[in-house]
Amino acid sequence: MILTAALLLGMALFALGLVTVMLRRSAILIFLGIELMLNAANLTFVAFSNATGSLDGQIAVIFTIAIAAAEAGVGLAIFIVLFRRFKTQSVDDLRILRW
Amino acid sequence: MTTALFLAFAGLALLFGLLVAALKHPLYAALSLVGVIGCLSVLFYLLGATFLAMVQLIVYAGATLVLFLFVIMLLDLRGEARQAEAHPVQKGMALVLFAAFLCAGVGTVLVQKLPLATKLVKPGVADLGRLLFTRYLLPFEAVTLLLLAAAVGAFLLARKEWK
Repeated sequence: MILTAALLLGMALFALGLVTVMLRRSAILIFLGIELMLNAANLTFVAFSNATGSLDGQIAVIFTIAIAAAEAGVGLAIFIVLFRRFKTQSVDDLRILRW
Repeated sequence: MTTALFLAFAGLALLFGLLVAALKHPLYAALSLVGVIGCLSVLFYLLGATFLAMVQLIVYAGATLVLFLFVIMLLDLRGEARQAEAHPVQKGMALVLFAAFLCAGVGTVLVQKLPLATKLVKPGVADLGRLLFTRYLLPFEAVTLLLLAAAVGAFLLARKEWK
């Protein structure tokens, strides 16, 4: 019951993060969607860790949180530099590497 | 009791998740994400991951999301929220993919024969730490290196006189 609820919630949160990434054109909002997906994956890890009685899932969550912190630090630094140079933050306008 | 509490906070987390996807202002979306993380912290606690519940609150909500809020407030994003609109075709495709993904995921979960009762394991921090420093020592050290590299990289990138 609880495991099913946790997995369904993880699924729904992941889908919401996915739709945020696909719908939004603002780099910060896309980043927030990615963080939401990471959290959904974390919830699934903890739920399975609880269901199987093994701690390996919780270890995976520790690593996910550390990597998310590193990712947020570098990503936000890149946003600051981009915003300083191009005065925009929309990924449709930032296309010097595309064409 | 635990189940009711779990379901209540799961619903709250879903509500905040919907807000993250629906709100167009980065500040409000980030604050909703803080709500999601707070609810998930309670869920972690109810699932027996007490240490992770605290880490989720202190590191994720307290450090990572505050960093987000700092940057959002540092950048002058007025007017950005309106112009950053997706193309209608893009929107339609995103919603179709969202629905397909959600149906597939929920279906997959529902057809599984999952155990109804969950073992309420209460492992302490000691077990977690022992595992982290024995079997997962190498990934742990790799992550410390990654964090150092990320800190140096973020500092180098965001310097004022960046050429």
